[in-house]
Amino acid sequence: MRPGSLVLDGLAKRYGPVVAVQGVSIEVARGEFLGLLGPSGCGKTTTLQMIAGFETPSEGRILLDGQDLASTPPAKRGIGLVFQSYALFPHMTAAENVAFGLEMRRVPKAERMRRVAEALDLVHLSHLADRFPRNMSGGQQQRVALARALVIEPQLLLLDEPLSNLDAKLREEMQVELRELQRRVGVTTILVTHDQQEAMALCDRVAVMQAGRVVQVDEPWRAYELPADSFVADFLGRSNWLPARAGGGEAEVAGRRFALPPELAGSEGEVMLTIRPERLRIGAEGAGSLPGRVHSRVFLGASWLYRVDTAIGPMMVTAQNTGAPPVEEGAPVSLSWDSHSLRRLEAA
Amino acid sequence: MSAGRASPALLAAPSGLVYLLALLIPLASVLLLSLQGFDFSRGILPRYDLANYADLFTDPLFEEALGRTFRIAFVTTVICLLIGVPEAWIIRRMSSRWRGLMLLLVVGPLLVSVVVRTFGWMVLLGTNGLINGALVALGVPDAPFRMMFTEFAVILGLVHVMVPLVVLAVWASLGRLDPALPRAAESLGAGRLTIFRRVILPNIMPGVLGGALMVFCLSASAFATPAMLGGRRLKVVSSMAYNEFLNTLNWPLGAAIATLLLAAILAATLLWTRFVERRALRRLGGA
Amino acid sequence: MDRRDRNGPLALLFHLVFSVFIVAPLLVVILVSFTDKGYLAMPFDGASLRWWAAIADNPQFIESLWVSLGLGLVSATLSALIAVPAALAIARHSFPGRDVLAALLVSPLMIPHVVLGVALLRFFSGFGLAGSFPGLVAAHLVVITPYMLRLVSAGLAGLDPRVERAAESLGADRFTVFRRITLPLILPGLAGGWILAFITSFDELTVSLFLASPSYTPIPVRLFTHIDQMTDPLVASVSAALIAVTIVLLLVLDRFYPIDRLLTGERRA
Repeated sequence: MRPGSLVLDGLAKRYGPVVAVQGVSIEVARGEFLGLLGPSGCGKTTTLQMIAGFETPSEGRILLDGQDLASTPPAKRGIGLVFQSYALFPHMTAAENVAFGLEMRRVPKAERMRRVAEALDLVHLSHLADRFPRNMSGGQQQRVALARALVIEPQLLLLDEPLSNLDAKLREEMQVELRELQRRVGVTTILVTHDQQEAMALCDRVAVMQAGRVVQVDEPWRAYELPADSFVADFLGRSNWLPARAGGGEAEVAGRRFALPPELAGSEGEVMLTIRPERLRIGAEGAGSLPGRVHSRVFLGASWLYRVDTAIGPMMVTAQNTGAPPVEEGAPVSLSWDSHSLRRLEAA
Repeated sequence: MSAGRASPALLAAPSGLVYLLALLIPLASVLLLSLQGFDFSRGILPRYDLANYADLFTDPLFEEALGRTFRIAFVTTVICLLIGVPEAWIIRRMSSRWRGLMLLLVVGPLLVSVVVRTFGWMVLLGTNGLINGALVALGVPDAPFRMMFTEFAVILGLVHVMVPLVVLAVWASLGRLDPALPRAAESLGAGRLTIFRRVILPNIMPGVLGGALMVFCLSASAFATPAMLGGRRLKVVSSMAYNEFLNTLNWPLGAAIATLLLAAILAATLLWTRFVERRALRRLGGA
Repeated sequence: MDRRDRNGPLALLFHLVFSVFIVAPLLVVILVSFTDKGYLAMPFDGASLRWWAAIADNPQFIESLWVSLGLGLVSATLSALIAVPAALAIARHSFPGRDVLAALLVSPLMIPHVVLGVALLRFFSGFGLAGSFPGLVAAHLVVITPYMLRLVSAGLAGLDPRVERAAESLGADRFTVFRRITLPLILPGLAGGWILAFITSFDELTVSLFLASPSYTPIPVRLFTHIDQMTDPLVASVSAALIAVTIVLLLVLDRFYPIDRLLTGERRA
């Protein structure tokens, strides 16, 4: 199996006047695991369908290992596809499902059986080879779908919300397994998902999409730490917004002044600063930069989530559960932060 | 327990009563009648034996009609499957704008009386009809052909009446399929024909087999189409029963013919579901 | 849906031939009804409405039309009245014999209509019901109730029983639950079932043929016996009128219940 590199070059899809995808350009390296992330209707599935060949781009090119796929029908693209519904053939056993793609390629029977066995072994399903999909759990069906897509040794593996039909615990297990499997096989993979946690856990890079466009392509932690805009910041996690007046390397929020990080030192005038809830510290009244009052709190096991009402609106704060008693609801508190945790964004 | 709570017995009573009086007892009375004798001067005789059945089984005319009935039903069923199953798949693959319209066009005629539809075929197939007219105009040798009052005409008319039922039966099965299946097969390298043959067809088998049984039974028991397109000479079992009841007035014999027809249909249904459908469905887990 | 999922040219050609085959006999009937000739001819030179006017000069056809309309109205309504409770019993209760009842109620679909006609003629003639309006209604009830039941049952199956339980928990008694919750929710299915039952009754030939009398001859029977004696363009104009009636009913029906769903028995997508 030789993983391929993929180039999406100015891809667009329009249905009449409706623009589903616009100007999508991404390069995916050999063996890379890329996440296409965004809310429903952002165009990520349409993009995937164009790569698979089920939708024809209105504009732009798709290059797999440098070769333009425009005139290649889906059946000839050699792309492995895992559907959200798995789309297993209900009248075939797990092994027959996996063998189908090899039959289409006229692989001789002996080799076919060997490769089917290998593929099922790869997903730890050798013992269920003769089961029909209806007699398998969701996780098992998911693995058959993976084996079926991988056995044809695709240059590219496309996963369309593959874990969304599994329950939360199983989903986490499958995430680990999927990541490990992808590393082992080394196949270039694109995952479409609306679940930012899933994309961040699995992918080498994520491409965040909004309204048909790619807003940011980056490593998950960079996208989280340095979001390109407020949409990305919000989509990848919670954010607090601090409207401030900047000047002279400082910013003024609710009448209090504090230092800006060096990269924002040049900011002047009205700016919007953001900070992640886990970067805010909750302290005794008067100790920090921003006074407030605890409105409510939620226990999350490993941490506490507080909502603190301040002069500039409610702020979300997560605090690690250290075992100490939490701050009471209604208690006057003060919020503080390190200046390097601040980001400046244009409000969307 | 609130006042309005109705027991299932009470809920089922009205329909049960209607079916008892207008279905079960009449059917039983026909069975009984078929055992009685008949004399042209004295009418129905108060004796009970199997003489009518014995007569029928030695009657070459009845044997001929029986053979014709099932031959016509069989050929009609095969043709309906061969054209109805692909048609359902083709309509299913149309864009949603056309799909509903075309389905309506194809199955809507089900709601027009069989008499009207068959009359249309009389106009088309007659010696001076549209088809022969076209053939003569085209200079086809030997035209016009005699098409009315042949088994060909009966089968053509029956296919027209029945094929929408196959489309509907298959349509329902197609609706239960995961719409991603064809794409999954295509992404694995399958062409259009392979997708239909290897992925779609096996999964819609329940609809195909159910449709086949329905078409066979309805064709074997059809009355209007064979009567109108087959004429008086081309008798089928239904028209024989009709004839005995309303022309010859030998009710007991007519009752025996009707009973045999019912028995044959029930037997065909039983055999089909027992041996063909069960085997086919086993793989699909009774889907 | 993209062009990749669409049909190839061969498939579309097949569909074209198929559609022509389906529509041709109906179209021909409508065309022939406008002939100006005194006999069935196709093609004809001049169009005229003389055979449509001739319907009015044949009071038996008008009379039969009224018989069929009345028969359809009465039997479809009665069918609804017996099918709704039966569907409720089958869908909402479990009792011994439930499967037998369900099978019995749809069994007329499998029974040859000639056999039904013979049986009803034999049985009803013992009570003087053969050739009477009530006799025809009873016969049609058995023929159309399976269709009515199928649509009402589909409506009930698409109805979450928890909705009914929720209403009960809010203090509604069973009858109120039926009147305020169940009935409104199955109304589309019921209305669709009523019209389908009406059309089926309106079109029914074979059973009626055995039970018809000179005073009560439904229109398909009138047409059939008329064709048996002669085929003139009057048959075409009456047939075309019946097609028109069906189309009008279909259009009305479509407002209650999408026709493709009605015919296929599909539930809400």
